[in-house]
Amino acid sequence: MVRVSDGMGVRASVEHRNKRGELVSIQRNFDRFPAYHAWRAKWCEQHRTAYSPRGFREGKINPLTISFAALLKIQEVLNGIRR
Amino acid sequence: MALGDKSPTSALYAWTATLLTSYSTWYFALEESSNMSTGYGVTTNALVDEATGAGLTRADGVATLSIVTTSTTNDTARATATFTAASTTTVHGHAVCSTASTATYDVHSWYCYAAPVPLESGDTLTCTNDHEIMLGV
Repeated sequence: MVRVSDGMGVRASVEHRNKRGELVSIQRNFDRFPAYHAWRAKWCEQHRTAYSPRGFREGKINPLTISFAALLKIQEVLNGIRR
Repeated sequence: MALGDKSPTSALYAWTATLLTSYSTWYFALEESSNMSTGYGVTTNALVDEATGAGLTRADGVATLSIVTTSTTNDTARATATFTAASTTTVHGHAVCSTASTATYDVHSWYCYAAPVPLESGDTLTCTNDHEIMLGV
């Protein structure tokens, strides 16, 4: 079985057109959720902190505004703290 | 060890992306439940309320697969499909699955729309998911 996990990022989009072919809406997302969830859950486990993916999705961190580079930087900093 | 030291070669990214697209036929399934926004997580392997209306079933969403370049050459497996609604509904997201059976889920990836999409008969919905193989976090 293949799943999205660490090592894979997903960019998704959806385009809605009416029956006349006119563009109604288009949405795009650069989604690192699966990798982020896995990393965040592991971090919380190590720090004995409860983790709620729901809390994340409810907007404590906006996934659309945090970049992958930023996540890497955060992890780098945390790794440094642990060491 | 620096993070970059963990990165395999770009050839491995391309090989993995190609392997993904040869794994099986891929299908798009449409999610009609608004609970998608809170009910989905890293272990998600099933849709909450999969669309069954005319033109909107998983069988209507057979994906066209291709290899494209995002960060390094041929590192991305792209899946895309276009649904033509023959009924009225509201779609909250879509998922890419590797089986046509709605009873046996096998979700590769999913996308929760920032805003629900109300469809009327005759409307089209084009879904695209790019799976980029890359250095993990």
